[in-house]
Order: sequence, then C-alpha cells, then structure tokens
Amino acid sequence: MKKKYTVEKDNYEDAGQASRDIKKTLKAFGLDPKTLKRVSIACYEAEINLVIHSDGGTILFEIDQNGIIHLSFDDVGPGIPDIEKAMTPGWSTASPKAREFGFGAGMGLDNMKNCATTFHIESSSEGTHLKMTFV
Amino acid sequence: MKPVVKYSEKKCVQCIKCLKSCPTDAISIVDHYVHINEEQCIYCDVCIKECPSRILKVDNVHMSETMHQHDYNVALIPTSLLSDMKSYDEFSKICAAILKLGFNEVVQYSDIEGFLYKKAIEESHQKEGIWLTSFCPTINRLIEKKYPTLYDRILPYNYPVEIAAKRIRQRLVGRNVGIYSLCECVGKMTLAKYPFGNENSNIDYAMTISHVFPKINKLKSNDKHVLKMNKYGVKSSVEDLFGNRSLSVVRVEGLNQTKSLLELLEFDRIQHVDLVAMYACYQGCIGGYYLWSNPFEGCYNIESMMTHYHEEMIALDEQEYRIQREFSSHEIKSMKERMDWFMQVNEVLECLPQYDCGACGFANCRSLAQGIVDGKVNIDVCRVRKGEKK
Repeated sequence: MKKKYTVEKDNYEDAGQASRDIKKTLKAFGLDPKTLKRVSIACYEAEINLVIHSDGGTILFEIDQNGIIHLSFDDVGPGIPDIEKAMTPGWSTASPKAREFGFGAGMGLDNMKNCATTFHIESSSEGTHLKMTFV
Repeated sequence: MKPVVKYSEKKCVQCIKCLKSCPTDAISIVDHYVHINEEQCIYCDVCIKECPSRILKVDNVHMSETMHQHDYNVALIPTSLLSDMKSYDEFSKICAAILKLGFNEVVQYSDIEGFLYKKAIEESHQKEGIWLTSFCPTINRLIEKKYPTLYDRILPYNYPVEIAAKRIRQRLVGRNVGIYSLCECVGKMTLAKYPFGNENSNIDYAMTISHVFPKINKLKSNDKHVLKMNKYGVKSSVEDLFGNRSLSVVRVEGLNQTKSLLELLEFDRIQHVDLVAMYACYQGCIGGYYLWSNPFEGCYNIESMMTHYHEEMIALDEQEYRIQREFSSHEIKSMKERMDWFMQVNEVLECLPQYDCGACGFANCRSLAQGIVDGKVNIDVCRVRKGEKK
C-alpha cells in the first residue's frame, strides 16, 4: 500500500496533515503501539522540516508486503549544507516565525534517527532526500 | 463484560445520529438494526444523548431485588452529587434519605479523590515525561482503544470508587455486605459487578443517580445525615485544582477536546507539561449525564459550599491505590492475514466516494470498506455510488 502527499513550504496552518493521515492509516492497519509511536513522531518531525526548511516537497508512505513501513521525504531544495551539524541535538536554523509556532528546537533529525530502524539522508542544493524504515 | 448500551429495535427511525456521533466509530446499522461493537465502545453517553427516539439506554440494578440478599448494605455516593444541591443542609437531607432506602451506611470517597489528586501532581512532577490522569473510565478506554501509544503514560492508579469499595470490604470482612455505587455516568457504572459483569470489582451493584432519585426524593424529610467531604477531592472532581497553571498541569474537558490533545501528545507535541487531566464531560464529573441538575449551575453550587469541606488528608498504602494496567490486544490474525485484509479494505475504499456521509449505516467509508471485506454488507449500500451510477 502506497500513498503520496505534497507538502508546501511555509504552510504552517496545514503542517502535520500528512502525518495525521499516515497515523490514522497505521491505526486502521493495526500497527503495534510501540512502532506506531516511533513512526508518528519521526514522520511528524520530518514533515515539519519540509514546511520550515525546504522549498516544498513530497512524502511517500508505504507499507510493504512484510508489514515494514517506509517513509521517504523528498524536497526541491535548498539542501542542508552540513548534515553532520544538522544531526547535532540542539542545532537549529529555524526562522523566528517557525519558533513562534513552537517548532525548531533543533532535535528533529536526531530524534528521527532514534525512532527509525534505518535512516538514510542525502542532500545537495537540488534537494534533500530522507528515507526511513520502521520494523 | 455484557453489552453496556442497550438497543431496542422498536421505534428506531434509523436516523444515523448515533453512528455519526460515536467518538470511536463503534456503531453501524446493518439490515435496519443498530450494532454496537463492544470492543470499540468506550462507555461514554454520546449516542444515548443523541438518540432522538430515546431507545439507546443502560440497564440499572433494582435495589429492591438485591438488597435483601445481603445483611449489610452500603451506598457509595459520588462527590459530584454535591453539584445538585443548593446547600450543605440539603445534601445532608439527601444523605439521610438514601439511608432510608434501606442502606446501613452511606459512604463518600472525596478523601480518596483528594489523596489521588495530590499524588498525581506529586508523582508527575517527580517522574520524567508527561503523565495522564485516570479518574474517568471513559477516557482511559478511549486511550486504550484509539490512542494506544499513550496507554503506558496513564498513572497506574485505581479508581477512587473502587478503592473505597475495597476499604469497606476489608472493614466489614466476614459479613455479607452489598456495596452499591450511585453513578453520575455510564463509564462509572461499568466498574461494578452488576449490571455489566465486571467480575473483579469490589463494587457489587451500580445504578444511575437519576434512576434512584425519585425514590430518594420521596423519602426526603428534615432528618439529616452529615458527611464530611474533603476539599481537594471535591475540587479534583470538578477540575478546578487541575486548572492551576502554576503547577504545569493541563486539564481538558469533553471528548472532542480530549481527542485533539491526545493527537498532539501522540506526535510528542506537548512538551512543557507534567500532567494532563482529562474529563469526558463538561466541567468534569459534575457534567455526568445521570445527575439531575446541570453542570452550569452545578459548579456554583459546589463552590458555594466550600466552607463546609475539610482539608484533612488521608494516607493510602501503595498497594491500596496502585494497579497494574495491562494493555489488552485482541489481535488474532497473523501478519500475512492482516496485510491481505488491509490491502482488500484499501482496494474497496478506492471505489467509495470517501465523503464519510454515514448514509450506508457505517460511520465512514473506511468502516464500510471493512464491513464489505468482512462480508457484513454489499457495496450497494453506498447511496452516493448508486446516485452517481444513475
């Protein structure tokens, strides 16, 4: 089962909508609570990242034949200049507007990595591609 | 457990108000008959309130049939009962009238509520992360059924009314005691042995306040029976103290608001709070459907009697109030079976309009798709699809 979502840049009002739908779908699927918790938190963090930091992008959500959850986040830029730094807890480049909405604490990527079973990120000025799986 | 909400086919106009209002999509109408999925029902009172034909009801225990089976009968009265009283004098008269029903004792448990209220704040401040309070059976069941990722964050406390019943049982050990709980809501009724069959309870019988009220009212005179009510217990059951912003405690009332909050909690979006206190009803337990007054005036009634409540605290042993909550998972399908079922549901869902109108007798298109895959109904029940075909 696959589903694709589009995420708009700076659309704070609708931020989290895709994650809500994914969470709802996973509940209907009957995913165990522990995995569901990890997926929900990581997915939400990643979606918010698209809204705050990227120029917009897509989320691809998949449950494969073996019940493994795949999440891919692909944006069209501007890219993360220093991924290592971005992975550091507390490091944030979030705008004052994002912080006003309660986002941008700098825990995002680190948090996601802790939640996911596999975590892969690559970035250039063309865009950032993040893949996570959950078992 | 027996079915809690009872349905009688007669007079049902199949207006779908019950299934559209159900907070957990537990209701469906198949072949003109309302089905309530007990596995999903959280024992709130929403469908009962919404039903225009008044045919969704809960069973009550009839005291006259059971009291003579015991040689000592105790009535447990909820703190929220105060909200129905204009004065403490009136409350004392009502308590005397309850005794006249044939009870040997009237017992209140605001002192236990007060203890648990203070304990909840203390413990949530000491331990890491956000904790949820658990005074409302409906809320706990909502979390178990719909927000399972948060189930382990509910403070492991027993219900005050259950603790009170256990204490009575211990105090009167060796006697044939009948313990009756007068309830302000459906949720609390489900805690007792009868009528719904919660066999592990120390409470023998539950009945709604509105069910016994006419009898109590008839017996009311100038006789008084004064009960000492604990101030913190009273406040905790009307949400006031949990509203203290300096304590990093958030309180929320009503199922819709509670659901919004639980959604945020599932994404880890509430971070500067130690304790979340939730109530299914407006203004907390005084919003219970089976009180005869209303919660709008009720909160003033409770407040106006404040000088009568005492502040002495009781102390409970850990084993008296702590419980082990076990998450009950009823998953019997294998991963492969679940996967196949889910794929089929999604395939059917693609053929449905996804307006979630409810006209087919299911709360939303996904529920209908599940119903179709499970062989309960045919896709032709979808009225929107039929209309489009024409």
